Amino acid sequence: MRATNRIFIGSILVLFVSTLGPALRTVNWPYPLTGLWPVAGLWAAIAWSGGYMSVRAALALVFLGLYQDFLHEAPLGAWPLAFLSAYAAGMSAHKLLPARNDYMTAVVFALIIGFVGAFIGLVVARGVSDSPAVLSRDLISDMVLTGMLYFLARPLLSGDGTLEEAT
Amino acid sequence: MAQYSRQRAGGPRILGRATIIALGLGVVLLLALQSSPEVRRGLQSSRARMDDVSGRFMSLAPASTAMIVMGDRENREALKQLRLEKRSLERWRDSARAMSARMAEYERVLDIMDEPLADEVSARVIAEKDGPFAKTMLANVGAPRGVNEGDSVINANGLVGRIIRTGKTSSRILLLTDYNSRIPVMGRVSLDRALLVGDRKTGARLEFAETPDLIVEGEEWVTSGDDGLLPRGMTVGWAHQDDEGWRLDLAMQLAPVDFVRVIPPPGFSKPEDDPVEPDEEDTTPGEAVVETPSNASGTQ
Repeated sequence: MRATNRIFIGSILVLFVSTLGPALRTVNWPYPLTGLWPVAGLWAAIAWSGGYMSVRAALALVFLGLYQDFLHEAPLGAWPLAFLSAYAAGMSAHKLLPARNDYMTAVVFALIIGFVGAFIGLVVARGVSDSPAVLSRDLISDMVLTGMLYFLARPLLSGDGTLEEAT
Repeated sequence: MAQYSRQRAGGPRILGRATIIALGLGVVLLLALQSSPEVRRGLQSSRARMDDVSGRFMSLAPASTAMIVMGDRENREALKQLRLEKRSLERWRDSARAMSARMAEYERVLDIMDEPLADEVSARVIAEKDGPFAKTMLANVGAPRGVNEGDSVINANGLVGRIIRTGKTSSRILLLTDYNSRIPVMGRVSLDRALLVGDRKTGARLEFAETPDLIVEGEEWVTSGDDGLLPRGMTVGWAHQDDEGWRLDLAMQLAPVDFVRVIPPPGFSKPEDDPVEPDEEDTTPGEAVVETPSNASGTQ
């Protein structure tokens, strides 16, 4: 599949999951699902970081982040910064690995580093926009769920984990 | 594995890298601009429009989703429980009506000026989001139904929050648990006044209590109405002391918030809005208009 199509389909998936989350929060989910929902944009950021650097992917992440900002009542730019940070951190993580590394190790390493990047992005966004503290137990719970579901979402977002074509 | 390693080969392009860095810097600049309250206010209309759009999508997720997810058995039990509660509530309703009529008669006899009754709007919560930046909900009523910014929102248990933005078909509710929420409250027993401030960890804390020594553990706290925006006497929660001071176990957290009522601020008019016209024949400018036995009889 072409990279552009993959980015488009991935964006649709992220938009769908992001929109469904706030709607389903009003439903009385059984414990421990109460209040938990994955940050779908991070799936895209980290999955797309597995390929070459792509401006289209970065633009899609900014768009998805802005949508997330509207949904989450966050300062505009906070989630785009988090997604771009995760994207950049994920790319760095892939570069840091030895040339012949275990596939799963690479994916997990990129996931962890990507999350760290996203956290740093959110903290910077908080500082720049003068918003309240962003690191909360809820966010960490959402991140853990995001990480667990990443392995299911990754094939949908980037096939075997790559974007073959650069921009 | 080898294929994956090969795909990692090949360097990023300089132009692409520069573009992505520029995107990141642009986003940081956008964030920095929003530190100004004027810019935030300017973005309110676009946020309201976006709330309407996302509200339409979210209202498509029907309440029946809960039935699919949770199954019929639990719902049957809930229905049975609700029927029992309904019978009990009908008895209370009749009792309340009788008391209300008696209270109205007492107030008439004592000539008490009661708080004006407000026109309420019922709504359903169609989305809830407690992201890292804000804890808000989206309700399916907008400005055309008479909802305005600052209106209070309650459910069956107590106060939920305030309306912070209205669109055509939706309104956004700032929950009591949000960091930016500030509500004047008072204790029912201690009559102490305090400011209820949203707290991420505990829900909400009591700040600036006038006489914290008088607060009683488990005491019910209600809105004081001191700000003129919230009606007085709406249940907010119950006081509980922890290591960091007094906090409230919020009534809204007793059950998931589903249907809510939106209540406008009490319609007290200011003296400036409805001034008493001085009688030019009897008073002169600067003279106090005080009805005394002497000037009432006209012997001054």
